[in-house]
Amino acid sequence: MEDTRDRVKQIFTKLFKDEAEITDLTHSSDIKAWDSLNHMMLLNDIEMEFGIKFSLDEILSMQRFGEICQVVDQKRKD
Amino acid sequence: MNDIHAISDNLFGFYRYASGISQPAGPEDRIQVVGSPGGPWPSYILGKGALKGNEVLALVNDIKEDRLPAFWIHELASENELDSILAENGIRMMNRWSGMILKRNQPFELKDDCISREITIENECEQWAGLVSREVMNSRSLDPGMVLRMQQQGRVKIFGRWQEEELVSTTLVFIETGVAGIYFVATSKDRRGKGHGTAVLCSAINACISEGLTTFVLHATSMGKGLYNRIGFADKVSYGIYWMLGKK
Repeated sequence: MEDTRDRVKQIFTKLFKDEAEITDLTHSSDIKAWDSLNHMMLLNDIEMEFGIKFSLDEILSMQRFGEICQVVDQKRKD
Repeated sequence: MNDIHAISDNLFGFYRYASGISQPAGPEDRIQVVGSPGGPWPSYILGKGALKGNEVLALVNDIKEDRLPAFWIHELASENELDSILAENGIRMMNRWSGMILKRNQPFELKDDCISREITIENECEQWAGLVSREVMNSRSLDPGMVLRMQQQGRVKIFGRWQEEELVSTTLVFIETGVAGIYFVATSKDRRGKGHGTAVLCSAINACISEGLTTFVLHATSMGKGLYNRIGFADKVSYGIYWMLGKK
């Protein structure tokens, strides 16, 4: 969905305050502050933004911006 | 000792030993707290067995009021209401470990051109702690002094694997009541997928077998399970790793 990426990107920027460009390939290892704890905070904020819930497997497997947007889109359609 | 007890007792024993601080915090010694804020080891709640709803809520309240740490490792019972009560109170499961066991008295056959051996000297211990901190500890560094002290006290053995004089892989063994617990199996990011983790692990197990140990336990993430299954470890129990969101 069109606005998913923009809304997820806003959450990224708010949490990580990273000035570098965020693309679909941006990986957790590319952003210093994107550690396991902030990963939980990020996904929790995304869940609240979109009214969705991630499973533990999804939490562990999503490590790129594009992957997160893809899963969010899927859950919004369901 | 049954297998699940062996796995949990070694995990909790290692955390107690590494942190140097442990006290009961809940019903019938099924809940302990290890570590302290700012200490050499992260502070955790360690728990096992089923808990009643009111017992969980009491612990949650203590976490909210900062009387207990925000991180909780729990041995999961087959029917466990822990997840839902914790989630309702802002405590999320952030990982799940498989408790695994191997019983073996024959050494592994190792054929390769790299060196895997026990580490006993200080500068190698610093390299070891650096690799573990980078690859495993995430947002916290492991104090090499703490590791060296544990190793000198004889309860812990640390192993490294070198390729062309560079330390590429690590593991640690904690021995308690005749059971060898395996921790910190880590390989440098750019050297993964080449068998170094398997080799250093097998080398550590062989060293323990030569000293008469035959029971090995570990706690694997989903990333490591395949490697351990291939060596012969069997799944026996699960652990939930929980965190109260936003608390450090």
